[in-house]
Amino acid sequence: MTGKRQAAVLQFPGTNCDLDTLRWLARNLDLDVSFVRTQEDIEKRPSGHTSVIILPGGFSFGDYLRAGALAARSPLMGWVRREAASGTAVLGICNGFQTLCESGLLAGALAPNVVRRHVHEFVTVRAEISTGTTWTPKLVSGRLLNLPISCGMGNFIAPRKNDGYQVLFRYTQNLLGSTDSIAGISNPDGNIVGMMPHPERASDPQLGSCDGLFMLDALALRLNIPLREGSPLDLWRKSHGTNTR
Amino acid sequence: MSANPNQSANETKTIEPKWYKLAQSFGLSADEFNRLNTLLQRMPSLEEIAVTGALWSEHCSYKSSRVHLARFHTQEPWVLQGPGENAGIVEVAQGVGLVFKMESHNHPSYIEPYQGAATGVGGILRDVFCMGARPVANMNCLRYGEGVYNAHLLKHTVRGIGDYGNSVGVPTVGGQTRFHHSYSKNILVNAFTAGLIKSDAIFRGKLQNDSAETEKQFPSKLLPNDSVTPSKRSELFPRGANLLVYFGSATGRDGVHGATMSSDTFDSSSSALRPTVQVGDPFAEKKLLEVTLALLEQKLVVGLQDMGAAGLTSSGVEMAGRSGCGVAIDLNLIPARTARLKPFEYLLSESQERMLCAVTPDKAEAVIALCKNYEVSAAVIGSVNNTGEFICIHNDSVVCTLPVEILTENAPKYTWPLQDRGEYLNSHARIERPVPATEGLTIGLKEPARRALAQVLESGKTTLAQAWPTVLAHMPELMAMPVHASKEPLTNHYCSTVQGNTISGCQTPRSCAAAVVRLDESFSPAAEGDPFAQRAPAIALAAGCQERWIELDPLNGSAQSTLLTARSIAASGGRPLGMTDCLNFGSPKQPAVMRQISDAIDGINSVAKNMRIPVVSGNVSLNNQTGTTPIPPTPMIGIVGVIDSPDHIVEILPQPACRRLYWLTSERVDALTGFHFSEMSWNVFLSNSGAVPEADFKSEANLWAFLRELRDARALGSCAVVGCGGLMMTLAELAVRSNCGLTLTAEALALTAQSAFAEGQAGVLISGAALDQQQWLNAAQNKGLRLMPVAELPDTGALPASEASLWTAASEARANSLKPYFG
Repeated sequence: MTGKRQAAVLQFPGTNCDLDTLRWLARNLDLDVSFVRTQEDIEKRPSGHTSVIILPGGFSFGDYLRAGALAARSPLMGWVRREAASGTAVLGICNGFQTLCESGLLAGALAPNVVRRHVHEFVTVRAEISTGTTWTPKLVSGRLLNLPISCGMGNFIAPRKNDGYQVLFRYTQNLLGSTDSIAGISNPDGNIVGMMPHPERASDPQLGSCDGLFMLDALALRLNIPLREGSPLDLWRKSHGTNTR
Repeated sequence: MSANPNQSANETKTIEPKWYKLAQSFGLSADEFNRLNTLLQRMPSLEEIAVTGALWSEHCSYKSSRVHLARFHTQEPWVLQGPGENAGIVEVAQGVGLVFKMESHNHPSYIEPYQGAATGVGGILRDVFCMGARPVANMNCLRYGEGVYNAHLLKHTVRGIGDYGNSVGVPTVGGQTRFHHSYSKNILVNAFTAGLIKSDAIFRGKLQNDSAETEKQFPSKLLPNDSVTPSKRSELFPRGANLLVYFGSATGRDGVHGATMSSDTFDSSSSALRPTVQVGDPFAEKKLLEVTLALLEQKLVVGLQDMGAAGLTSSGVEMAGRSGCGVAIDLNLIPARTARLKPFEYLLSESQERMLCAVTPDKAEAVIALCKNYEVSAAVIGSVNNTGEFICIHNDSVVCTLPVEILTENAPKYTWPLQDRGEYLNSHARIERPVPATEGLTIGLKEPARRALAQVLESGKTTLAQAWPTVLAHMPELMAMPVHASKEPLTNHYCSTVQGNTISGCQTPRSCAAAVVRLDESFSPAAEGDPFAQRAPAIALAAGCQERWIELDPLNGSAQSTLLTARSIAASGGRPLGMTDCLNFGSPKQPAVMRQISDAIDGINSVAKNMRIPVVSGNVSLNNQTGTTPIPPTPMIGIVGVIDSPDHIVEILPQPACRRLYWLTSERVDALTGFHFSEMSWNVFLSNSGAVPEADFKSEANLWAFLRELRDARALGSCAVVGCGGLMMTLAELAVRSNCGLTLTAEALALTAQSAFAEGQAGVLISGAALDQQQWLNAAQNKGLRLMPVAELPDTGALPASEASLWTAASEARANSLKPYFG
């Protein structure tokens, strides 16, 4: 085990954004990142030593029940729950968001899109004022991000009581039908974040949008993770300055 | 249910008619059934008829097209695998192969559009990953007709394609969707997959290690109905021989074509078997993909093949054929999802997401354990032997014992009569289109607009200046036609950004004439000097077909059509490296159709040879017709290329700072005279006619070279291929997609109105700040090219209000026209 911070990307059967998500971290941040797929993978990791856990997008268990419903009940999620309780930064993207809601780690639920079909599109989301989370900077508001969504069940239904979560992102156009156009939320502590758009697919100038780097920038600052020199995030920070002023 | 196996060849002359009927229900004609009897020198069993019918089918044997397919240009130094395997492979970068193929799934998609289209995607994915490649891009080429049922087909095929590809996690990045009344009763769903592989890790469908010598084969001397004694069993399943391992989903009755036979004729006690459509399970496919790549990476298997058309039968026989050996399969060992499957059902089932591999006996346990780890079921079902036969046993009794060569080399080959070329051209000199349907899927031009446009396009002498006010006034109606409308209502069912490497796909911020997917760290050869894959090459992919041209003239039409697809690779900054064909035609028994097939192959081949784009894989789909009316000849072509550096990527839309567009074509007049076979003539005059010009490869090569020169001088701002609707509609599309209007130059206005919609070898539309310099005009001229400034794209705000509102209406019509079909 090196002195670097440890990061884990979860793989459920049917997860399909695992490799791109792993690369998103590994390309930009100087940390040790690996997949966690089996019970043995967990047993190899001393508890409390994983700083970052990402639940990537995809179709865990084929999404044959409700999206994320089976993954939420898998043994891996018990480990995520324990790690999250000790403050580990957890991010669920798309299917990962659905899994976090299904497991109760985040409030609310995701229902089928109002258009009742899969939607893949680059959309604009607005970052909301928040007290800051591990994945987003403090007090940034109105910032517009161009990120892709790709989901069949991205219609976020907020719980009746509006405590228990804070809104991080809203769509400028509510294609999926979410309550108050919500695209992403966090738990009150701010260490668990879930979002439908895919920041990992918009983090490279070649792909036409670097807006997803915004989140890695915040994470790196919050957890004091060095950037890899010459990486897209390093270049982005040099040209944009960082998120938090 | 087999005949007396001891019957001799002489006696077969008095075969009862019921056997012919049975053979026919498995796809064997009377002649073919007789041929089988002669080759076997005995009566075949029911299972043997089923197996032979499947392998001698058009789909597996290419019996009607083989003679013609042999003419294809298939070799170039960068070809790593030509035709004959599951897919073709070209080298895109040092040590990196691109595995690709296109395949049809037309008939199932017409009957059950959602599952038919979904399983089409699944099948082509398996063809690519069973060679060890990780699929990185999907495309689809779709053809629909008109009317109510076609609206249903459109909606559900698109959903099927999207749901399957999205779930497996392979981006769907492009393709082509077109409409033509002749597809109303026979739509086309052609699916394309490309995957990447390290060139030293290519896997092929074989049963023995390459080092193993081809052993002499000794026939088993078994006959159907013989019971298998323990000693015979040890001969069929010899100790130490490679084992056949089945893995993936369990076998059911889905897709058993033979089940349509009137089974009660032969077994009145059994209930009528109903055919079921294959059902796709993308989750199973995803697991199968991961376990297959893991098995190959760990070098646990010798050979591997997916079970596609004709299921276990074709994969078993094809692998045995390639390795020159025999196989024995115990059908009772096959994982089944239905009780009481009959032997022929095991053999013909087209249940999806299944694989067959050959492993050395010491690895069998590890293979099964790895499958278990990935939650994929697996079982040893048979063994390689030296009988040279395809042997199947069921309940310890032989049901099939056919020499492999009867099924492969001795499959029938047909040379169907060809209509004389001159006669064909005469009888297809003019093709009329019926008045478009007005219910369901509507694909024509609305009536008042059609009449108005007919007036200004009737005479070849009218200038564009004279016609322009009318054309502009009807831009919203033109843009609303499905051919010109935005395909986003379809493509936003498809995830095009998964895997994080799509530079140009569907709904991506950047857009090129072709789809562009970069090589990431896993495959980027320069990874050491470029840890962030920012310098890595990218692959460019394009697919399509211009069936209206090909129906008029299959030879020149298919050459022009193939060239147009290749041009979009060049227009994106790439070099085309190889192509795959998916030949959709009517019945080969019609001499006119056979002429189309033969000439289309020659037309495609002329591009393959002259532009050095070898044909490395393909698929033939015949009998696409209803009654005696065939579909238009549709040889769909998929072309792949490489873009050597990210700096070479050229986008389709001009940069906001430089929205002046130049038309780059050959100086030859062909580009201007192709109105009679254009989309516009088809829609306005309801007919296409006349000669399609011969492809001019020299000027095409010059055009590509000129684009490279511009690119190297950083003078190329954007590049779009002039496609359907000619110069005018391509300009209009660029204008609308840029949220702009269109101001034509004096040069453009001086063209005839017809030539503005012509579809000859119509070149590209480019932009670039330096293009007005004399040096580029001269450079173009020196290459025999014409570089003509044709238009500016002004912001709609800068236009007169009436014009601005027309462009806004055109933009809305284009965006919304196809939306209602997906409500």
